[in-house]
Amino acid sequence: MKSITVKIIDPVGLHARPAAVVVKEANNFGSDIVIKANGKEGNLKSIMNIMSMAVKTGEEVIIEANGDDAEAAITAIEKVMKDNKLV
Amino acid sequence: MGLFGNKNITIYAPVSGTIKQLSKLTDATFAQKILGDGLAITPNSGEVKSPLAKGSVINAFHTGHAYGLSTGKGPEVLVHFGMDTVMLDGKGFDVKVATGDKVKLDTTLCEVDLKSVKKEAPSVDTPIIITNDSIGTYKINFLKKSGKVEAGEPIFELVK
Repeated sequence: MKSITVKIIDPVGLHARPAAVVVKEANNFGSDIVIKANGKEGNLKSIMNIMSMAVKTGEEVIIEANGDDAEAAITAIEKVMKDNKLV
Repeated sequence: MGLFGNKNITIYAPVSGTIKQLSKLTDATFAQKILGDGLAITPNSGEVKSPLAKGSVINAFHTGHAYGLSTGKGPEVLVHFGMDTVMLDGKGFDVKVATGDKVKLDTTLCEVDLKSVKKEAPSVDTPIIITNDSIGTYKINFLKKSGKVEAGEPIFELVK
């Protein structure tokens, strides 16, 4: 299991455009990947799941991956989030 | 129009207006089908109805500009009113449904103040898409690709 905690800095929070990019990246890996924020948990491979969590700017989220490629998944997802100025 | 067996899922126009190809939208997230494939409609009225004859609301954004609906068979539909309308933070959107609600063809999702949103948002073009991660083995068969459309008219279907 590998996880990271990051803070969302995108002024509009984790919405459609950045969510789409992160979900796309998460789907490249076999591991189960979840995102936890304000007491809720969502499947990072599902666009609807992420958007329904309505993660706002300034919120801290935990991304957790479980599986053989968990390490690679977390590294890649963190990079994508940083590249898109999400965190 | 629903006569070809119950394996296909029909998606209906949630708004009346003119059909626009996704590739013509100004927002790359939709134009490049990053979220999924489907169609867009430039609305001529602010009434947003259900795009499904039978479904449920997975997600009614508190800002009222986007709705995630489940077909109950796997595929999920996203109706996103306008481009960058999340920035309006709900202004001009009178949301009529809540997460978990069941919908039918005549269910109203939202009543939008079209005039106000047109002024404040870069575009009112409304994509109706099936999210990539939920489409599964279904394929989209477009029933309309251009021209005028009325809310409640079939625009595409999901076929296996």
